[in-house]
Amino acid sequence: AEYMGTVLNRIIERHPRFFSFQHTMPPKEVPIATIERKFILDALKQGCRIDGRGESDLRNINITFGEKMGTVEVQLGTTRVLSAVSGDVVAPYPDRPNEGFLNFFVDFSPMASPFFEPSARPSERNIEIHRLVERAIKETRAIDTEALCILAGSKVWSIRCDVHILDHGGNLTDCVMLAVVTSLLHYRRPDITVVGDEVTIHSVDDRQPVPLSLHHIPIALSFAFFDDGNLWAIDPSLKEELCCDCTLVYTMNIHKEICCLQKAGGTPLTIQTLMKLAQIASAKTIEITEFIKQKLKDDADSPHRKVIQSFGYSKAKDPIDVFAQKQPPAQ
Amino acid sequence: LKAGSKVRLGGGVHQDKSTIVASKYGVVRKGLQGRIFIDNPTQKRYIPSVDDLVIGVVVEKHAEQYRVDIGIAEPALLPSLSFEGATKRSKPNIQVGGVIYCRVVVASKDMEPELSCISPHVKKEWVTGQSLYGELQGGYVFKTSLSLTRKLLDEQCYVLQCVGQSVPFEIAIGLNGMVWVNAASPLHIVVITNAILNSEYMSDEMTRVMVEKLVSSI
Repeated sequence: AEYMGTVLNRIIERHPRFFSFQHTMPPKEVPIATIERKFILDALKQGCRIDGRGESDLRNINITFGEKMGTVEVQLGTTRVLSAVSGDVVAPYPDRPNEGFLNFFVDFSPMASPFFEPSARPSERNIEIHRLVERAIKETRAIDTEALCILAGSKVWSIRCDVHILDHGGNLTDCVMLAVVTSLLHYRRPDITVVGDEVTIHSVDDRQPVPLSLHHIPIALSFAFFDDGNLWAIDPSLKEELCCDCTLVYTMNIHKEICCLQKAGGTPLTIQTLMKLAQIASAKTIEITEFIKQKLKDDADSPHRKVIQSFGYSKAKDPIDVFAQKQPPAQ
Repeated sequence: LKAGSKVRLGGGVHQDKSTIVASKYGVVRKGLQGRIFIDNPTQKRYIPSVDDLVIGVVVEKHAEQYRVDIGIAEPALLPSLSFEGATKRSKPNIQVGGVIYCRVVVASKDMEPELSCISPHVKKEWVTGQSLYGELQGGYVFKTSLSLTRKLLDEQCYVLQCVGQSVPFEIAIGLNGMVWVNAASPLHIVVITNAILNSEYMSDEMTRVMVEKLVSSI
């Protein structure tokens, strides 16, 4: 029996994978070689990035609009994000009768990267991006939730923005922000008339749907720092992001206002660096905002969009009449 | 194929009694060392087969072996003594994150693949640093698709010839899609990397123009 014990032990030692009772965790992140890390740093010290960009060059941005108003796919280099906005009329919370709802859902799909796990619990990175988007849009009142009120105490708009990450090629923050903002600008909600206590929601065949009112357009720009804060690069690609010491995200609008500032990583930065990067971010924000507006205009003018709008999507021909009730209707 | 001839089978084909049957879609090709395999230009995921030369990154280091990531589901095994002239007392000390150029020795779909840095032809000890396989020092390593790798391994590879006329470099190509490049300065390496990545779907003429444009930036 002792002999069998030692033989079994030896077999178990030799083949740990088949006999391990400890669940082997798959690698959390792309395994990056030492020479890759060293090379990215050396190249940056000589002023060149691995894809040949300059330190303040962004990758190509490509925006495609879906058939439904409010669906947008944004590509930032190889990173791809899909955003879809939808609206619904619901009852407000009783303690906030004048406020509508604006909710964001960011989904880190496993299709984006083999290192995203399909768990119900959002990961740290997921929460970080979600919070950044919320802060940049809700807390700066880019969309005022009070403007989403239809009839105080009984009817408000609930706008929902679903973001799906399709491909992780680095710098998800910027791409997600771009997708969210473009889809909010692209979305059209049904027109509403309120007469006293009567609310009429017009179908899209009756009246042209109305855009959401965005007071300003926040654009996020990420900077990655290397070599203890001495070297920086805008819009890091996947490998650069994995090798960097620290990232700084400037969320600004064209009025040179900083909507949101986020720094992840402990590298100390000088005030001069922060100011210089704020200037660069501001200039890039203006370029990107112009680009988005041009793309939206091109889509609105395109014959494809006009054909979709002339057929409309709803089947109901009569406008929907809603009478206000003493109790808000059950959800 | 003539009856009674000996062939080696590569990826995508298997033997069914006395016939060779394809198990995936694509073009039948004869590859390195006369091996018959199925070529699928859109494939990016590597499927290991015996005698393939691959480049991997060390992810774990154990007493008797290294675990090397070669782009497949599980890291492959590289025994610590599988280096030319290695004994228990003198064997290379490779750290996690090291890049290794090696050969696939065992590759079946039921077992985890095994690698080796022992070459049947070049018999230089690992200590001298002149052995054919082993750790790659310096340079830069990046991942491409499998079809680009096969194109680069061709003797008449146009993009490498074009680049080599202006920029001297050394290169190691792994059939798992990984390519290692080393040149005089980081800027040269960046130029070579981008030339290789851009040339995947380009014709010879377009490649020549592209390489000229990139090289002029040095």
